[in-house]
Amino acid sequence: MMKSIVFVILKTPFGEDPTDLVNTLAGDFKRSFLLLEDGVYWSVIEEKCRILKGLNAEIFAANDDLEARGFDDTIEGVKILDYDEIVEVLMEEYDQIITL
Amino acid sequence: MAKTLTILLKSGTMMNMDSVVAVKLARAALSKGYKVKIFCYGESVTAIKDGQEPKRFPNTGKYIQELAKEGVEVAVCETCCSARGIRRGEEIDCGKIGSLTNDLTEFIGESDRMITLGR
Repeated sequence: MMKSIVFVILKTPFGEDPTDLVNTLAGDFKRSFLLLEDGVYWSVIEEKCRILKGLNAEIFAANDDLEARGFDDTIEGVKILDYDEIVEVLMEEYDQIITL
Repeated sequence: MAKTLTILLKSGTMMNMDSVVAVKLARAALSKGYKVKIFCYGESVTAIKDGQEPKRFPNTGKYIQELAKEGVEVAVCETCCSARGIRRGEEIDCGKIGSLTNDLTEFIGESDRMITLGR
């Protein structure tokens, strides 16, 4: 069975590009990004969201953290989740969790 | 048997929202029937200091105490507490001043998933 990793991003997209790190750690594994706190800015800035999409990953953003920053929507293709759904992703849909 | 989530918290309660996310994740996981353990390391050990009354920040210590009463296992790094002058007897009810090598190792061994919240 193919392994899978959720990469958690808590920080704004104005720091390091995670591309090399994610490709190195995830290899051929199924991968996704879970955007929490300031990490949700990755889901509302087109050029930054494109970086994550380019990594062939599912992208999840926390609804609470979007709303706290004044956003009610994201770039197309991002799934907006509440914390119950986030727990489901972490516990049932992916094998490992790595915070970037 | 219920799966277990361990949350490793590294940020102080008033540094950013990491501790609030930890509380939200713990609450959601509990409500879905999972077991939850929280280990605080570094600045986050301030979360278990009893008697906090922040005026403009969420009272994470209070929330963690509530979670502990609902069955969340909470332990913090003793060395990190000593470094910050937090002594045994000053911790919230149900919180444990433990150790990285014993408690965190045990938590990890008993967990199905672990998430780290810190910078």
